[in-house]
Amino acid sequence: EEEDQARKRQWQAYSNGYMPINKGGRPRQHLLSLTRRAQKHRLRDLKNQVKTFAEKEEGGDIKSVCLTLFLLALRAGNEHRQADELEAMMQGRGFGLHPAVCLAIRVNTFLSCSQYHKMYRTVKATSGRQIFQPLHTLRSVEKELLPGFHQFEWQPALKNVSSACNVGIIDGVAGWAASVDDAPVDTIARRFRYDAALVAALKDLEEDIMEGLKEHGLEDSECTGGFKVVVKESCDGMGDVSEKHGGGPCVPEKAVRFSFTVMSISVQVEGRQEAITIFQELKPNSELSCKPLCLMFVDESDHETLTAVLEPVVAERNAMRESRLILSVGGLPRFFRFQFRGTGYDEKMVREMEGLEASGSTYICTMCDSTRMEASKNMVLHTITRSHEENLERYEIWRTNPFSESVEELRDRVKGVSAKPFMETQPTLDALHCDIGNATEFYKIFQDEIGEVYLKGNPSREERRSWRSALDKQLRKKLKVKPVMRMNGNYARRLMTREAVEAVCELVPSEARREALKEVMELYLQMKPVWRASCPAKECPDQVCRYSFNSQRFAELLSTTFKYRYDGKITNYLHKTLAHVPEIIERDGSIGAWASEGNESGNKLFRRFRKMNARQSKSFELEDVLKHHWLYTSKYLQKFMEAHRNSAKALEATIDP
Amino acid sequence: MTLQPVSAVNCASLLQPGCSLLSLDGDIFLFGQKGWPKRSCPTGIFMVRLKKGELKLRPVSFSNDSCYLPPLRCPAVAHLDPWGSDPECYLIHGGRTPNNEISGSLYLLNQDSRGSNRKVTLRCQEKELVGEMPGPRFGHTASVVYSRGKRACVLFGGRCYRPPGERTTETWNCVMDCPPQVFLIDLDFGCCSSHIVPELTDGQSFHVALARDDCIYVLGGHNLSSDTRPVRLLRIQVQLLLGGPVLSCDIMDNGLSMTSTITVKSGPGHEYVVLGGYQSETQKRMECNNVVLDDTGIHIEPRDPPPWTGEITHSRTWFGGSLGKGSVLIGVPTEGRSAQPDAHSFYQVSFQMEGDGSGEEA
Ligand SMILES: [Zn+2]
Repeated sequence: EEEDQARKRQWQAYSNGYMPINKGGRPRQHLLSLTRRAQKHRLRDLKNQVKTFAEKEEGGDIKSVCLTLFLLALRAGNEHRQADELEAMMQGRGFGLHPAVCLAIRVNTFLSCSQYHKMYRTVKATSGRQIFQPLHTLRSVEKELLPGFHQFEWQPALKNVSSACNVGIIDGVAGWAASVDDAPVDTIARRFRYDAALVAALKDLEEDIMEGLKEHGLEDSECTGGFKVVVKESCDGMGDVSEKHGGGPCVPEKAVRFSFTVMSISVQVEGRQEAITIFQELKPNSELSCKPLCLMFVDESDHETLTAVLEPVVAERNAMRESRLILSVGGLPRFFRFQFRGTGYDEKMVREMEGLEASGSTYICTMCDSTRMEASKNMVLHTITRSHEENLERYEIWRTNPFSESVEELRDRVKGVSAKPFMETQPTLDALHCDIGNATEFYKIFQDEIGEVYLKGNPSREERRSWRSALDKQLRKKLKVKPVMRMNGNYARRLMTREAVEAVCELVPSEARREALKEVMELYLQMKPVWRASCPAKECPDQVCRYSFNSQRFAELLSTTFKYRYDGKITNYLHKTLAHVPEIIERDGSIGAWASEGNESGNKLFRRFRKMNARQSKSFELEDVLKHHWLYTSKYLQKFMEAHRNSAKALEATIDP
Repeated sequence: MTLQPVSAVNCASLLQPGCSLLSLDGDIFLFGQKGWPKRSCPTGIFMVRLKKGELKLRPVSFSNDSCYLPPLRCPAVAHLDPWGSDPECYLIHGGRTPNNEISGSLYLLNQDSRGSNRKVTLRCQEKELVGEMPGPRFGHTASVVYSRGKRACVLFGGRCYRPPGERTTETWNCVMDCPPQVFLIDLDFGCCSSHIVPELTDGQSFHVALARDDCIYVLGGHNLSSDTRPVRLLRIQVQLLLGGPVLSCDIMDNGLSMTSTITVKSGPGHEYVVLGGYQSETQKRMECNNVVLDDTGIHIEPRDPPPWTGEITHSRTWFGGSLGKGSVLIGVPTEGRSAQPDAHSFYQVSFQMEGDGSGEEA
């Protein structure tokens, strides 16, 4: 009966277009409306002919001959969609959406496997038709996208890294065994091997790489060598992530994520001087391009545990720098070299990793040796001098004290390096924290200006509190911003506006002070795009040109009109903003592109994946989150997702009516 | 014998398993703090003060001719009595740095000066080693032997990372037993010699080594490859002859199965109490022993353990060290607060000192 029903539906579908003309006599029934027996009878001759043909020409494959005939008929009638579906079926993919589309939908709508399966069953039951692919089909797509699928080789072989290619998720504690005598393992960590992850990231970009080559008219043969891949690295503590379920050992409810972004791929062509960029990440600060490499439950200031997990990652990175990757891309083996730039760290993490004193230190900068006093005296003229190698050398000087100096002399000699650096970071300015740090400072200036501190000097705590509440009230009234306990990105964006300074000026008694406040804000707003833009040379060329002039004037105002705040002291971020921006822009072309926002938004994803997707055990959930997060950053899936936005919406409606 | 709870005042996060308590000129110092030293105490060494159940740590500074050694977990530590013009000092070899690197350096630590207000300055100097050097290791022991008017430092046991070529990033943190060599270090010139003792075929770590004259008794310990805590007792005799040292080793089976124990001197001679540590991977060692070394050898007797509290009994791990004067500091992970890995509760165990009858700390 079910078969009948199905046939009827099929018939209805096809009959509109295929009703044969009745040539008189008894109305001839439509082929599709016949019983199977009658169909057999009517097509008997044809079948025999096809059989003979197939045996003679196609090795007896009747099925292929018939399907191909059908396919050709469909194409001839411009029925391409049906032809595609048929083709998909012939290739064993079945009807409906491409498995990658289904996977993209599953990942982007934060569906767990079981949720997807439930949805898959519901769709079939309610509509009778199935456009989604079963879970196992998705799994095979997933496998190809995750690290560990593709073959590759390093030349020379990576030092201290196993040569196996099929390495998926590995245990981040790297053989650190729980032993009562030795340091107990109090973390759970899961990661990909760095080289395998980079291979998967490159294969994910295969289409873009090939397109880039074509765009530049580069013949495949002439550029099998000399690809250079620039990788941004980020690492950040996530603070408290406690929310659920036990299972597994007790671990801190804090997490640290290490991730990377493929920023650009360029190729050196023989006969040409400059390398040609064939891929450039257009959203270098998006969570969509920031790929997770290592997840761990650990407090970011637990140095022993952090280094135990990240040391092997560092070892892999160091090994890769000494070697080149041979990987098939676009059907040809190609050579890749990697450049790693650890710019996605906040100041706290940089200090932790580079062995510098905490951010309250006299040595206020992670890029130069300036002391707080020097930086306040000379706000603009400083050069970036710190580097990982030098920090390592300085630690050795600190440890051995070769000149038999007092602790103060020694500290001054090594400029505050008192721990052994363990991970190389690239000296830069973290744009987000710069915004937050400077907004915090401006908030305090506003407060002081309301209270006219420049006249009075040391105000009492009560006085400060009253100015603060006046400021909060005014900002709430005029800008609709609620006071916050700790400055955040959103508050900073609202506060650093002309509108905000206008509102504040209403509470500032002196006309001259009002003008000065407006001027510093105006200068700041002229300067800000330079470190925020992904490509300042294109987005704000004028501001880039005027930066040095603006920062000079800004510094002048701070050390004259606002001297009461900057006499012998200055905040870390104001120093970086005034002293180092032009040099970094000249060196890197951008500060914003190298910032850590992608990783920070990745933190939100971590929470979301963890909540919606992961299995209920701490060790499994990290694997699930890592896998899911990795897929979320796949460019290949993102393209499918883009093409099927509507399917995804429909699906979401199905699951979450 | 008493057991008293101790509250660590603003310093609990500095104490961690693997740290060492050193005793110089009657003062107790903490070495091996958690994390790298901060600005507030650049040396990473603190004077330990225990008064009225409160534990306080006071930063200690170094003399100008000192080097700034990293905090080390599970180093080999040996106390050296004054010798000729050399003052009382400590030898510190190996251990894990806060970056999880295993150190192979030897440091000498002694008191430099004592200012007013009990302010002590220490001197730390790295001793350069030459010859057949013991590689980086931790969980081993250092002892001092005296023979024929000479003295030498003896290193034995320990764990290390896999050798280069075998260590991959996927097994980066795997450790193994160091080969069972015995290393002698000449303390004047830093010359090292390595000695193979045919009787010893397996490595071991986290044992106790007690020395008297030219003999070292090695008690307990863990063998990683077989994951056992053998009951064997080793007696290593070192004769410092003019032509070169001669080593001999006796293996006895009247030892104790134990690791990571705390040893505290309980009398003016070679009298010790051994307590704490582990019996197996899942069992703490709740028993307690008197160990005496004399001319006839080593004597091990059980003695009553302190009245352990429920918290101590139930914890999976514990650690601690000798506070001197028959007193021991013990730390256990605080129950129920899993979120903070550095949350420890502390106790002080005090034994009656044999001979002088004044065991209790004021
Ligand atoms: Zn600077």
